Amino acid sequence: MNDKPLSCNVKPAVSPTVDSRLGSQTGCKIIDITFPNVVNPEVGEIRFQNYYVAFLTVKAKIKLTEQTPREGPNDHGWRMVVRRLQLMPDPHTETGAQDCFVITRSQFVCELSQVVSLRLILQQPSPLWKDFSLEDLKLFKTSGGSRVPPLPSWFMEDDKPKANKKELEGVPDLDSLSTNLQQLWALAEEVSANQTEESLGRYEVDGCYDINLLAYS
Amino acid sequence: MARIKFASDFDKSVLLNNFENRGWIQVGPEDDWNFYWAGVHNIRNVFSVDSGFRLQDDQFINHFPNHVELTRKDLMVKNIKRYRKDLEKEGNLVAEKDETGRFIHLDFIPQTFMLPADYNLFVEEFRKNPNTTWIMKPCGKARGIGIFLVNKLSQLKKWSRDGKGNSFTPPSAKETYVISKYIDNPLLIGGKKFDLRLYVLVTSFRPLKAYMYRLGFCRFCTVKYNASLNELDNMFVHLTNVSIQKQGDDYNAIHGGKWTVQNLRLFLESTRGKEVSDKLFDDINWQTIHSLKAVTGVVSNDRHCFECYGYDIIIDDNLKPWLIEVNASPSLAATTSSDRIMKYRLISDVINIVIPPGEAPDVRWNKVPDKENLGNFDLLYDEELANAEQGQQDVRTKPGMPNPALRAGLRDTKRGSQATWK
Amino acid sequence: MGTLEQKPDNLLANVLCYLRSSSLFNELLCSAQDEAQRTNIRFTDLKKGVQNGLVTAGWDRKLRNAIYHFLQAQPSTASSGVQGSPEQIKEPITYVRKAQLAWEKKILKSLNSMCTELTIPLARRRPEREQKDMMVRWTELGVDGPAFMRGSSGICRGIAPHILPITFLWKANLDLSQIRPVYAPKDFLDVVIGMQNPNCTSTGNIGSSDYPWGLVHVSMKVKTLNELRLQYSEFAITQCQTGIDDLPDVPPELFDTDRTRLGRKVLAAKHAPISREFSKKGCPVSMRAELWCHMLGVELDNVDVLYYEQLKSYVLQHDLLVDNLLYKDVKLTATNDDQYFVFEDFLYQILLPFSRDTYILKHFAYNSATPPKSYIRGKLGVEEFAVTYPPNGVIPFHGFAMYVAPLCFLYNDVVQLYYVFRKMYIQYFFRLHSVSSHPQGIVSLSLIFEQLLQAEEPELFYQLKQVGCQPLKIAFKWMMRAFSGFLASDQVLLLWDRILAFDSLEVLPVLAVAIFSFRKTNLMKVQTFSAAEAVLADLFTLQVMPLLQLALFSK
Repeated sequence: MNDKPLSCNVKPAVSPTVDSRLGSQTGCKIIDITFPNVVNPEVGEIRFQNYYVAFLTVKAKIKLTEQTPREGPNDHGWRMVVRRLQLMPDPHTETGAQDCFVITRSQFVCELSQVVSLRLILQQPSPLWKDFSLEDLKLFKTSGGSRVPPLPSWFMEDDKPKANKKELEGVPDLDSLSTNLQQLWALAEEVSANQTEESLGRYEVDGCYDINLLAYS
Repeated sequence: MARIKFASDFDKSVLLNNFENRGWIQVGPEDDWNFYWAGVHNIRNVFSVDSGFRLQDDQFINHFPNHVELTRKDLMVKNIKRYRKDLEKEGNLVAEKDETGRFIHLDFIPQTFMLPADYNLFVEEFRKNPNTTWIMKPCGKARGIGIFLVNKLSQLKKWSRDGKGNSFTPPSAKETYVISKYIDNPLLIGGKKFDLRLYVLVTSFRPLKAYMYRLGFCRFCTVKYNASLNELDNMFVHLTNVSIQKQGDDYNAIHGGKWTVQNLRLFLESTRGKEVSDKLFDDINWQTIHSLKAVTGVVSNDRHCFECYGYDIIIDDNLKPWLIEVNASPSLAATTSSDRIMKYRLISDVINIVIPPGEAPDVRWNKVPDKENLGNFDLLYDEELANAEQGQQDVRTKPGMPNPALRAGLRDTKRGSQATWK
Repeated sequence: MGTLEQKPDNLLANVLCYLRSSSLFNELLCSAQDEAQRTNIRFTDLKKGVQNGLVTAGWDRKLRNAIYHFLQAQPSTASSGVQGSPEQIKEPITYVRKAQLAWEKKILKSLNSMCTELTIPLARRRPEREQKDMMVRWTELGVDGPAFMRGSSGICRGIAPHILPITFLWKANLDLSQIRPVYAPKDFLDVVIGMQNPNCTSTGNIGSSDYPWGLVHVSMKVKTLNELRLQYSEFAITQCQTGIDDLPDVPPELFDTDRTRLGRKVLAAKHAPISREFSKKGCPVSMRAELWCHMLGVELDNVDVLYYEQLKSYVLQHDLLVDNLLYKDVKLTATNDDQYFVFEDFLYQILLPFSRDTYILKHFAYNSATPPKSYIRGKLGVEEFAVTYPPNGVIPFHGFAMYVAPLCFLYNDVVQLYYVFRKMYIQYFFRLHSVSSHPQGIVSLSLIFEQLLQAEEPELFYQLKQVGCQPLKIAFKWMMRAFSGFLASDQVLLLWDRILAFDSLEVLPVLAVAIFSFRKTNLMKVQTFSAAEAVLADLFTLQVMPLLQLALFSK
């Protein structure tokens, strides 16, 4: 996770009101995000910790350009990014209520470039919960999905014989022989480098495990 | 139907509650009872010629007159030895021996000698294997009284003197001992030694009719088993009699060191497999039948009698059962609450077989009880059924029925011999 | 859900990483080298030859099993593609996490005050003589207990006594009657029912609106009867079961013969998922020990035997207060149990090494509990001298030994018994005594129990509630001990067959509901809590499978 979160301005959640009498009981809240310090912001990943939000909808307002043209007379640049994503499998129960979520580009309905602002619509239909919101909200330019260490080559290598090489009867193919041997050698090296997890865990310090009381921490 | 009158030499609740719950009326042993639960000491009086007592057709008593043929250690051994010899003479395959001269199918009691009578034979055997431990038991006593272990001949010097000195007056049962090879490789569970107490009901010796009780139990030593010699003095390690174990500090009053046969089966089947545990219990049935057959010729088969024996068996670590002794009067004192329940049911099931529910007591009644009246007993052996079975080998019995003749037949085919054990 | 991003690449990398760091990897390499050295392998087909050789040697199966067990151990959040902080993985719901923390603190205080009152340390090194003495008595610890030392009492002087207000004197003949269990199921139940969500409106805290009568005030999503029926469809009354249809009075040709034959094939395959599938209908007694090992992935090698020996030497080296707790627990439970008393000495040989096994610490990555911490004497607060206590991080409660006891019927070898128990603990049992929102945790199980019973037996639930006898107050201890010590041992094993086969503890509340249903007639008559307890006191005659069928499929 080398990339830093995008600099943005997350406004406090507000409940939509028709007149001032309707409060949080609407079961809906809106969080607006703007990017005052970023030129042509691009969003590839949204992370947050849920707090009792059952459904999440993400909309984006984009700059209308040639690449992203107006799509109708009433198009003010609002695009659907994530449509009613269910965060809690059952809004009346705790499951998923405080889970961490990572929403990546592959789940976006549209590409998020030239973003002016993002609008997160939080919905919680259950009357059980006093409050709901998203915590630790962070946006990233790229998806962090590619942080996987590359697989070792021996794992990915295919078995296709190299057809264009001349093969001599009875004489081993020197190239493949040496690659194979090298691989074996590399594996052996790795063994010595990789300590197995099964090794004995010591619990005492320098052979001493004299303890009087437990620590509260 | 007149109410049944019972007499009892014991005031044990498992007996009295059973009788009273059936609405029976208590009378004295001298009175006109239908059902008498007698102590072994009173049996001789009941059947002695002097008593002038003649039992009627509606009278039952819980011992055979000369049950000692089976229940006194020396007589049991003597009868079994004779039984094997007879079968061998007949050329019966059941008495087959292996190359070392051991009976293949009938080697189920540890090697035993009478003392002082067989002292010289014993010495000969002892010298062959000087490192064996032997166990000395007085013939006429029960519950572990007077038992001690022997691993040096000097410990027996007293016996040799007595034996030679008094050779003209045969020793009485009280002075007679049996000395048996000590089973030094017992099966251990949780590191502990145990023996098996099984209840066997016999309602007739000729023809033989016997039932095996399912709710037997294992009796555990409270002290860890340790074969080393310095533990020889610690009787708790070697003897599993509850009456001895009760004196130990670690005796637990909740379970009394008793473990059900069901638990034993679960353990053996889980850890050793089904075949070997099935074989063990088959072997136990087999040796029980043969111990009974060994005395059918000598026990006076009075039709007023039935008897519920306590069989004591030790299992060695090869899962071979050894018959140690048979008790004529297994303890009916309950050590724990589950013990009380079990013994109550035992007595109840015994009564239901002897006097089937709804029937008047009648010794002429041919005792083949209905399956539902067997309670926790299984038919172990019915000589008449077995003979009938023998007559029509090809007629198959119903599947799933506990049929001892069939089971025994299976066993013979397993052992590659066609002969039955008759 | 499935809407969030799955990360197969990540998973693959994790699997590889896991395999490489396991001892299996070394073995695989050794086997590969052996294969490569075979004379019949041509240089040109080196790779293919080695691969084929490995497959014939059973490596195919071994790797499949290893991956299967790895995937099974993955925390459930991986399925939604989201991973929070380590804290979040342990327990995502804040107030649940706090409840567990508060509970742990209470346990720590209780342990500390026991130490102070009895003036004994949590841990001390055994003098040489005592170590030898204990080694001699290793297989018969039941006689005198782990803390007993013949002869004079040793004195254990603190390195820096000024840190503590008291000097700890070690009493060799520590009177066990002074040791009391740190907590019992009842205490833990109070924690579970005392939990409240601060974000819950007042209506919510009465209980979830559909099931207003229960004691548990949190609303986790738990399975309904219909979902449980689907999950346990193998229990349908029309299907034959081991434990019912293989009893001696049933003709074997109906079920047992085929079942045994199939079982032998399954054992030969040694493949975890196959063993699981087979065991859904119960394990035949004589195959259970092996099937469980396959399902749990327990396969012993020499290293494991050595490792156990090492743990044993740790037991000899240090004397822990926890040993006394374990000892006391065995004495209070198994020693007095007419099914388990014969295994008393085995239990010490499992429980004492277990407390020293730091391998157990790994499970705290996905357990909401946190291992207690202490400092070596005289180094209070110095992080380099911080240690977990006990070394495995698990403080036993009253009844803990009963997790081991039924296993003693299956394994006569202590080492094998040890590894099976260890795996059972880190896979299942830990969930039964930590506060968590996990669907397999005791809170969710309690909820399943209350909701099922309310839905299926409303009049019974209401009646019991009216006479002040909340059903959970009785059923909780059954579930917390996975019914061990409450049912006959063969029935406990049949029940645990299903826990392993379905990889789920949810069968526990179903059985608890079934027992209430089964004893309904008598329960409807009770007027007091103790009367209800009496009706449900003796469960030893119950047959698990017919009851489960009753609860799931009778209506």
